Amino acid sequence: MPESLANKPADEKPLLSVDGASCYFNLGQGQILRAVDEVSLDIGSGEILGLVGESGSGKSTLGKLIIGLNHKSGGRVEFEGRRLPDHYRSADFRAQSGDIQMIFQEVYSALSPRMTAGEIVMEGMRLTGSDNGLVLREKALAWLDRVGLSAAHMNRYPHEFSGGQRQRLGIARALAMRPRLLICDEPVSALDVSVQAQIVNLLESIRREMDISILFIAHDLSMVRYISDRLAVMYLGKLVEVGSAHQVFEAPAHPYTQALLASNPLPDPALERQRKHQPIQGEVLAPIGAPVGCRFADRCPHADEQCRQQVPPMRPYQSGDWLVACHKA
Amino acid sequence: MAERELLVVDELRVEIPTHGGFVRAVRGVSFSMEPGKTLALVGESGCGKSVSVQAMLGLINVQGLRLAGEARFMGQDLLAMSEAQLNTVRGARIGMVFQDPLSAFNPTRTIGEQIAEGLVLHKGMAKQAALEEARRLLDECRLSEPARRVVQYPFELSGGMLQRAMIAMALACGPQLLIADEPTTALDVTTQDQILWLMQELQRSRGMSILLITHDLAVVARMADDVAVMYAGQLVERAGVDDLFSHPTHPYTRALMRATPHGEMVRGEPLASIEGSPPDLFAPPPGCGFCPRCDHAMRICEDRVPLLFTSRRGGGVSRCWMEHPDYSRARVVGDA
Repeated sequence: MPESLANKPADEKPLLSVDGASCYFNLGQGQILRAVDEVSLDIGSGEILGLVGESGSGKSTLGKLIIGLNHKSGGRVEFEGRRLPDHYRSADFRAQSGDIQMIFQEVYSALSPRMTAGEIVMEGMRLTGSDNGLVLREKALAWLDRVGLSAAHMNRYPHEFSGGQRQRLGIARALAMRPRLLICDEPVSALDVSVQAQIVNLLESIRREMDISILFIAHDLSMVRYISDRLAVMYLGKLVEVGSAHQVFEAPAHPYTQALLASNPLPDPALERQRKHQPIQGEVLAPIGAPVGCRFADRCPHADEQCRQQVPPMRPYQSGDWLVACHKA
Repeated sequence: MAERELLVVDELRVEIPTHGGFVRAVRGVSFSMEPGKTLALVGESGCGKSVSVQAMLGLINVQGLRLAGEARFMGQDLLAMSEAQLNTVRGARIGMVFQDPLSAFNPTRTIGEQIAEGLVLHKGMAKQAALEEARRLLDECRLSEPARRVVQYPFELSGGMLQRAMIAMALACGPQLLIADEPTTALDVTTQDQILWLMQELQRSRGMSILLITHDLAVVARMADDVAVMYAGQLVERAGVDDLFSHPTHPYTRALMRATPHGEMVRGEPLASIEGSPPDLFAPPPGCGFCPRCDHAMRICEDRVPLLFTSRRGGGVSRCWMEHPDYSRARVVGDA
């Protein structure tokens, strides 16, 4: 079974360890938006961790917090046992550029329109290394080639690329820094289905070849299921469930994960016709202020007084690496 | 005149003038819709699925636009109608729902006013009665606190709530046909679930037809009775939803399905991607548009556009030379 990939030896130190990290935003008038609220999470070496949740769940904020694009309001993030700064200065980014890189959903706005593909891929290497121009060019070419672009693309500008090619360019730029962890924030959401598959296959082969870890942030559950070793589910700034992708998809423990998976349509008309469930009711609100109980309580069919009064902690469920934050699980 | 079908689109062609010449966005598309059924128009960006529908409804305002073919709605050709005639159809007998609800509403007027506008215009209702009807419609579309929503502005509602309001607006005059262009693409999966559920429920209670434009095969599986797959401005396959998913015939449809992850996929099994990209529609190829990306391409595929042949398996039609009645015989002879 595919689980062999998911089970890492227990004594292996995680590559990245997020411990009680928070990211709050002050909205004024005494209102605090808790975009990420005391989240703890490990990413193992060579592992793909899928992070899912709906808009406003804080999944992108968490990704940016890890790489330093968002401040930390509390908690700590460690990379190979080394604590990353709470507030970044530009020197900090430069120092960690060989450890963590990110690719974005809106890759067009993440690429300078005034730089050619070659310059974009070379920039990071030029700023952090000591290679001369010719070596840099050679390396940039090799990276473009690795992601499926060619020498002909070196001197083109981002607007001359298609969406899929642009995402490849974004990946080449990130890989050129030889990161150990790649944070992918909705890397394929803006792409057509056939191109999505190209990019996902590319990420998967890079992971195997370069032994990098990937945090794959997405809302497309089918794609996340396909690519992830482990899965983390967020709701309103809180993690609600973490476990091996296989376990969580087969038998989700948290009522929100259950609702999320049940609402995912499947490309099979016979299965869809048997669909009986009533869709989950209510709307996702904003996580403003300190939570009184479970953030999901008002939409949850199993909620009782305890759920409305006490914030449920993350607890082991069945196996040790499966964690669920639910009083009822 | 006495057609059973609600909508018959016959050889629709749309050519849009740009600085670089005409884009052959839609190249001879034909399909028909039965009353009370859902037809899904599927394809990737640029395949012409939205343009077909917009052209049909006279929503492409470009000088020098070239339109050909027919789109008969309840027996009348929409393409031959004047703007005034179209205005009696759009928003009345045909309701429309778009992908981005926020940009489809006027930000300076309340939700209620905008729903009531159609009722006053098409049904001659008085303003007060129309506002009351708007409240009732919002309630029918399961929007919470409908009385309050009527006096709210679009920015005060979430994406899912706005999409419900837009459906209410589309349904206001009791249309026979609801056209939904990627209605849930911008929504989260639980909200998408609610909206799809709502559309199915409204279809059952009102008996209207739905023309659903989408790129998502899972949404197609959920909603459609019939499916038309488009590629490079042409319809490449048309079939009932069960036939299409159990026996996809056209190589593009098959490739699209293999590229869509599904539950039984084994971790590590590569997704089948479709290499290459669609053809340039400024100068469409003389043969099959998919042939440069197709594993089965033959010489004839480069030279001549295949007709819509009846699929050998399943009950649909497929624009592929491999479905030509003589194809299997030719192959058997060739193999021997």
